[in-house]
Amino acid sequence: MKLTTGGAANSRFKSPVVGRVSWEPVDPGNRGEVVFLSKDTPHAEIDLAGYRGFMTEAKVGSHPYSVPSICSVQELGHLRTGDIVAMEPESGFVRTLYRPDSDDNVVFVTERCNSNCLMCSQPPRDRDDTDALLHRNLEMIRLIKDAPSRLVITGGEPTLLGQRLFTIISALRDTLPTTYVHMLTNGRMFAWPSYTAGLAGLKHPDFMLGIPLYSSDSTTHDYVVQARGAYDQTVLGLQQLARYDMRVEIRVVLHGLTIGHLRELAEYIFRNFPFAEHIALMGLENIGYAPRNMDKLWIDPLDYQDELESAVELLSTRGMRVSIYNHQLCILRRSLWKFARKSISDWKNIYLDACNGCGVRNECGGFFQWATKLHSAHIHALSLTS
Amino acid sequence: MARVFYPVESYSTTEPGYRLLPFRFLRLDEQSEVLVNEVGEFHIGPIGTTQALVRRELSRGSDLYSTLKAKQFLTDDSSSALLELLGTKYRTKSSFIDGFTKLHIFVVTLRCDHSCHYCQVSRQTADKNAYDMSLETAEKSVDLMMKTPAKNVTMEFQGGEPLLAFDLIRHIVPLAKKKATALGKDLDIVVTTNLANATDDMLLYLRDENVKVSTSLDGPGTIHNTNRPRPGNNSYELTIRNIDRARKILGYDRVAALMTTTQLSLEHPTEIIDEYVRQGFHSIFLRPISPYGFAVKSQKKTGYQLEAFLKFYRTGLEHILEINRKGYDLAEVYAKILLTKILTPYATGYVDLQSPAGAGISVLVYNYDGDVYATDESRMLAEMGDQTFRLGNVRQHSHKDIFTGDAFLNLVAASCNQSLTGCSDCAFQPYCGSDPIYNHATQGDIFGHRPTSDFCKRNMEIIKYLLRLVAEQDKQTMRIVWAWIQNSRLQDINRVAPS
Amino acid sequence: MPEGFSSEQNSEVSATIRLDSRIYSKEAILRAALWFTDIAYVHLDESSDERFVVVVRLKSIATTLSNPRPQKIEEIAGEFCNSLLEFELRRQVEAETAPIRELILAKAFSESGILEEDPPGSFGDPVGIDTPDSMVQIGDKLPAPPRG
Repeated sequence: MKLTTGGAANSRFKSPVVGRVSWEPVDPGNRGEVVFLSKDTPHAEIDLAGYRGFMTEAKVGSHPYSVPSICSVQELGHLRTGDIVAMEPESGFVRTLYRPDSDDNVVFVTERCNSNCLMCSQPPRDRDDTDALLHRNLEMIRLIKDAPSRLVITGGEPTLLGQRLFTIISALRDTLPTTYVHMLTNGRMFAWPSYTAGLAGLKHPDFMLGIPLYSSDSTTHDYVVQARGAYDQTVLGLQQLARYDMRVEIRVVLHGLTIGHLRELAEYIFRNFPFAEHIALMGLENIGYAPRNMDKLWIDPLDYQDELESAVELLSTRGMRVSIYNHQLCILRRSLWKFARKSISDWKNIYLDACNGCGVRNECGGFFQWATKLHSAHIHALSLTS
Repeated sequence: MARVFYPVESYSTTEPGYRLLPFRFLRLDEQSEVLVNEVGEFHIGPIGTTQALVRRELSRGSDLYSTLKAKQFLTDDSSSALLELLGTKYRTKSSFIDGFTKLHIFVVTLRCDHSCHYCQVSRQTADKNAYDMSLETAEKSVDLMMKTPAKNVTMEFQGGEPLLAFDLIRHIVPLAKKKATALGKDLDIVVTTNLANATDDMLLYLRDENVKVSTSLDGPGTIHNTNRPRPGNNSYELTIRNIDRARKILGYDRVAALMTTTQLSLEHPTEIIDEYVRQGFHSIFLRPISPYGFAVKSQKKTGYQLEAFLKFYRTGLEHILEINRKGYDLAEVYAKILLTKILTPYATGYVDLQSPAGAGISVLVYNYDGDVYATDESRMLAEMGDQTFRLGNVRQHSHKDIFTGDAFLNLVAASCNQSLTGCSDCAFQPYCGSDPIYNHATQGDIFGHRPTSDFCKRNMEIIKYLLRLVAEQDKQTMRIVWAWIQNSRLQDINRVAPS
Repeated sequence: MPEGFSSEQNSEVSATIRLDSRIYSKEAILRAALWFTDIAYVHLDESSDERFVVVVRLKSIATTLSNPRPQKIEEIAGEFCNSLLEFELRRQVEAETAPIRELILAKAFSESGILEEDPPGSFGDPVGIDTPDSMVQIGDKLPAPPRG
């Protein structure tokens, strides 16, 4: 879910409407999947018949329109023709679900989670949203015209959908077979072999799971994710996934509870999960639960370069592929620049004033929007010659 | 459901103390000991580490505790995940057994133009009927080979000098390939040859049939020719010229070289290694002197020979590491095998250092006369009159007969170091192996006597040496080691590692 | 010398070591003794008063090329003691870890499916809402949250 905006919905619809938006009128034969957009009040004669929906920023009093519509929308300017949105009847919310221009499209499947990580950037909500999101996502997938190169399934915890997760993945396989799918999950449900077998049986052609592991020690891992038994389930899940030849990435968020034993964790990953195709070492996001637990979590990245380099040396020399996410080049040791990726989704990505004039700004991933409140004390522009 | 954060104590086990996981230990030197667990993870610590661990003197917050828990020497929770992990790791380390016999050695002829000091079997006569494999034997041997459950099979031509029986090779290769395809097996073919008789036609045939060549290079000319006499005493010159020809026709990477170590070799480790560099080889195997009686015809076998070999090995390995540091990729094969066992979760496929021993289980030898042997040394023992490890004959016995026969079953009883005296409590058990044929030949019984066994002493000393090397954690040395383990070049490791 | 261990030198090549059988096990003694059989003959007896008696007789004390630093009999007792303590430690580790070792091997070599136990915890939805599409519910609640 990206930008959310909202307005006042008319009574023509009770269930959410998912459609592709268009600023230009569309001929009657092709309107069935389109939500027509207008900045101003449209001419009264405009024929909206056949459109799936209509939205305008104009403040319209009594909603004369024959199709589901939302008026008085706060802003529509961020939408481009071809974007896919969800219009919600009760609240009048307008959610952007998919943008053809973006590399960072997401299939958001639930806000629920069976973990409660201290640094969770998307805190879970315990209400059953699975049916609503299932239908929304299936429709979104169906509406995508040009297959994107990649999609990320995320939440909350996607495996809480049970079999319905398989419905979504099957839809992706059938409708968008060339799209690489990366699924972020705590991996715990895969401890049950039948569930893993179910996923493997779908035979999606280009699928990888990104699973976090925060320690070789069960107590520490369970504490970080705030769920007893999570470590055991995740480890068993990794084992089952390997057994069924599923592709796996292991993720580690770098903070006060993981940095202290990072090299030990790296060795542990190599010895116990050598089949992991990729290791992602990720900078902390100052959003969600993290601010609340910052006393346990915050370390200035400049201060853990030794530990980081040691872990990366260990993994990379053993033939494991490593990436460093969410770190700025000015506070990352030069020897580690080759591992840094521009990983921040375009819609959350900013640079600071301190970055003005930086010679490597184009190569650097920059910051999350919420980093303005908390970031390394050592951010500085680099000159190209240094 | 309101979500609350709980402190770390809520997630730790309520039971005090810890439980041990299976491991063994031994003293490395005056100051340190090494602990090795059931799946090959190791920890080097000061003398007394094991005692402190066993006496429950470690405290939960300490670094040592954390390390030993991560490496699976102790546990403090009843984790089913842990059992699953250990089971998987043990299975991974044992995976070389999967598929049973993968290496099949075909002794196509005993005829040879060389008379190398360490070889028992070669015959100078040109009488093909006497010492060549017959077509019928060859076909039956191929049939027997294909009975193996393994999907990946390697056929290795040996002798005498196999190229002297080239017509036979030309008959066997297509036959074996056809049967492999029919059974869905992948077939690799190697010929071990001195190359002295290799014509262009032969080399082209080997190229076209995708056959690899393994030849002998014992060192610079003086050493090589002294070890390997032939008429004209020009084995070295011929070998070098033919390595070049073979590389040009088959491809650079399709020609490998092995050395045989003699008393003379022991005095010249660096010269031999430099020769391999000069000839452009990127791997060398510093093999021990063969202990088999036939290899030491005129040499007295004495205890100090092992010390001399260990000195040779250490000097050689240091020289090789230095060569790598200076920018030339050269791997030492034995070190690579041991380091793979020590540093990775993976199994290795080297039949002479595994438990259960490779004899029969991983390798089988089909002699020119149809007799089937457990290893190459087994057939050489038979040449000297000792038939202990003759498993059968291709004309009389089926696959089942051979592997349920007494000769094989007796052999297997002594094949697992897990149950051999001296090995059963040795820390290096996961890294080492067993060799019943070696024991039989040097000590008179297949189980062997560890305290007087050169196989034991040699492996122990080399493993200790390598552990000390790893303990130094010199960054460049470790990158070289990882290049060896992954069959990469050092520059490839440097490219993917921190700059 | 530790408790229950005493030794005396009989000659230039022989020593007798007496061990309290309540402290030292025959198994450890045998295993330790094995590693001296390259340089010595070792004889083990159980005497009536709860003691083991180990007689060590060096095979040779001559300096040769293959034995440039021959063992002295005076050192044998000390070495044997060290070795014995190590083997007692090994015995203890083996005894404590034998059951789990067997489990590990059984797991390693079992055909998949046999010996598989259920993972810890429950497969299901923390919100505990019944859903029609086969989310298996084992118990209808998560394990109780940790005390805190």
